[in-house]
Amino acid sequence: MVVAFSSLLLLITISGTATLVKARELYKARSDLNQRHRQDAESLGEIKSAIQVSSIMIRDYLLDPSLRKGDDYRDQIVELRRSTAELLAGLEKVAQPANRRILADLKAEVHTYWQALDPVFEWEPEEKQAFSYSFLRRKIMPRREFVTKLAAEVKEYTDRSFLHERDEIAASEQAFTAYVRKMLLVSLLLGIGVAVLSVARISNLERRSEQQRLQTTKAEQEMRRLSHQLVHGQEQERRKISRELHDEVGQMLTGLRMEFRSLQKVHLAPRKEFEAKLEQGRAILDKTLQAVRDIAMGLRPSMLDDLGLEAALQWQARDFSRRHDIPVAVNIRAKLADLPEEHRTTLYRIVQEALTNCARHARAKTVSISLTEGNGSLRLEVSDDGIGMPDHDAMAAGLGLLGIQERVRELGGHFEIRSTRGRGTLLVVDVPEDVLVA
Amino acid sequence: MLPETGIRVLLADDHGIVRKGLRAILEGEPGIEVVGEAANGRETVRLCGTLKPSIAVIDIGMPQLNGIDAAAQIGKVSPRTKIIILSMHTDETYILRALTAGAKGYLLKDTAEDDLLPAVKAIATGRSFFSPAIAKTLLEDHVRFLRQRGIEDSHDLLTDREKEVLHLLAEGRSNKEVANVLEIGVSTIETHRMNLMQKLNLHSTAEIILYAVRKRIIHQ
Repeated sequence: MVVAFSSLLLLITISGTATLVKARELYKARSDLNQRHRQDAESLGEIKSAIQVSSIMIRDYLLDPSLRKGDDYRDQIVELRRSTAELLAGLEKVAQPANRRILADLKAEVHTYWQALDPVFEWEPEEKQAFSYSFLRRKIMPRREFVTKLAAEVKEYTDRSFLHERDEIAASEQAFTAYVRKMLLVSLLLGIGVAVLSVARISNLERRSEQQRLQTTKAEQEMRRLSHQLVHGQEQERRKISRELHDEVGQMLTGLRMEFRSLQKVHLAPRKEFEAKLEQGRAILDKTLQAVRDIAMGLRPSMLDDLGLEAALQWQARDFSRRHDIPVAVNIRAKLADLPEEHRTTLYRIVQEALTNCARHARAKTVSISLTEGNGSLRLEVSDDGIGMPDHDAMAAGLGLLGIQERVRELGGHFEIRSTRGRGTLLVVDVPEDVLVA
Repeated sequence: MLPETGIRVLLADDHGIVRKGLRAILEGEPGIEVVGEAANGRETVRLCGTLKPSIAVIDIGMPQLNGIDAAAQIGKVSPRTKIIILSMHTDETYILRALTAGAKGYLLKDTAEDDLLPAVKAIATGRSFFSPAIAKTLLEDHVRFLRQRGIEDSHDLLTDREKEVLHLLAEGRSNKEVANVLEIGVSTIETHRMNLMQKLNLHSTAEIILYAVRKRIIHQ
């Protein structure tokens, strides 16, 4: 991601810089070319006009008899000659190789022209009068024409090379445009790639964080629900015990009280009647005793303390079998003698809860309990062949199992329910044997 | 004064009122003397060690050391003391544990007032005793167990001689005693014993006794 972004940025920076440099180069080349061409054209024009002016001066000088030796003209022509030489030198300096020859021709011709002028200033007035016309016509005019023509030719050459160079620049401009276009395309593609990647990644992250949020919310709701259930469940448990005490024990004791009262009345009656009453009272007393025992056993099975886990589980299995007429197989292959109290109670309660659920919901035909050990942990499995759990969550919400889950967690264990509709339920609990719980 | 052959009984229960009730049943009975009372398992073992009673009536649910574990220890400190376990459970797990720990009798608290005296007398004469209600529960459990698993009771598979051996063993007699009663060799008794245990799927003397109680082969 970072690599993609940085490579994209690097590419943009490099191609941008390169484009700027290249564009500046091209602009400079074009403006240089234009300037040179303009200078060339100017120089040629000046050379041409210098030739023109000088020929006019010569003509004037020759046709004007009053002028002697023509110092003025001569100086002016020397000046013109010097400036044309400079201009030619300037032209030569910047000339394209292809144009050198024609430029050299021009230079030679210009030189010839100036040399042709030289003798005129040595002439006497008479000579002037005698030769001027023919001189002008035979020497100056053709030379002048020739120089002009040559200058035009040079102009043509420089124009041509100018056009040529302009084409070259245009071509490199085109190449440059293609390059820029290519770079743009690459940047664009890379950008799209990075964008797609980013979008995918961001949406992935968003989805994950959304999932997490949902999970957190769900967990929070679950916690609230469970804590509510715990409080509620505790209250229910108390209500149940209270009702059992009141309804069963209380009622029976009330009955016993009445028996005592009637015993008081019949104590002078025949012995048989008295004995019958006494027997009734004893029967009520027995029931009361049994009820109190059942309540106490439900709260805390004494065999867990008296005989340990194995015996307690066996008792529980038989007791369950007795009450619900469902056979329970118990298979214990673990040494449980030194099992800490916490483990005993937890495992016992798990079995108790599992059996309760079997009786209530599972419609099981048989139940099997196994307790095995290995790798330093105890594994408890309670399976039935009932209808399976109708709803995982509904079951998990069962208060008893909730408490068990918590107990198992405290022991550093693992609690799992595997259930398939119509194929029974398997409850698996793994608890480490060595207690590290503080 | 009681004769020297009198039955000396120790009562062990963590509830004073229960001890008082048990004492009331035994006191005034000629030939029986309550020599001591203990309120927890350790005290029971200690008193058995010093008093050497002929019979100890021990409640299962006692603090410090439960009755069954106490019974096992008494077997070491006072081997001649015969033990009657007092319990409110009719479950075979308890009975089997009690028998394994060496108990000769098993009384239900509910019927102790009726059963205690016959039990003490029976055990003093070397027999065993189980509250009649126990046999009923054990049989019910056993019948249910067989029915639920579709198994037949294998008692009918026993030969008459094996049934005799079973009966005598269940009364708490040793192989040698059984051999004397039946006037056959000890090794033959050994064979009968092994065969009947295999047929009935029993694994210990305690299980033989339990089986006999359940089948009412022995009853008082």
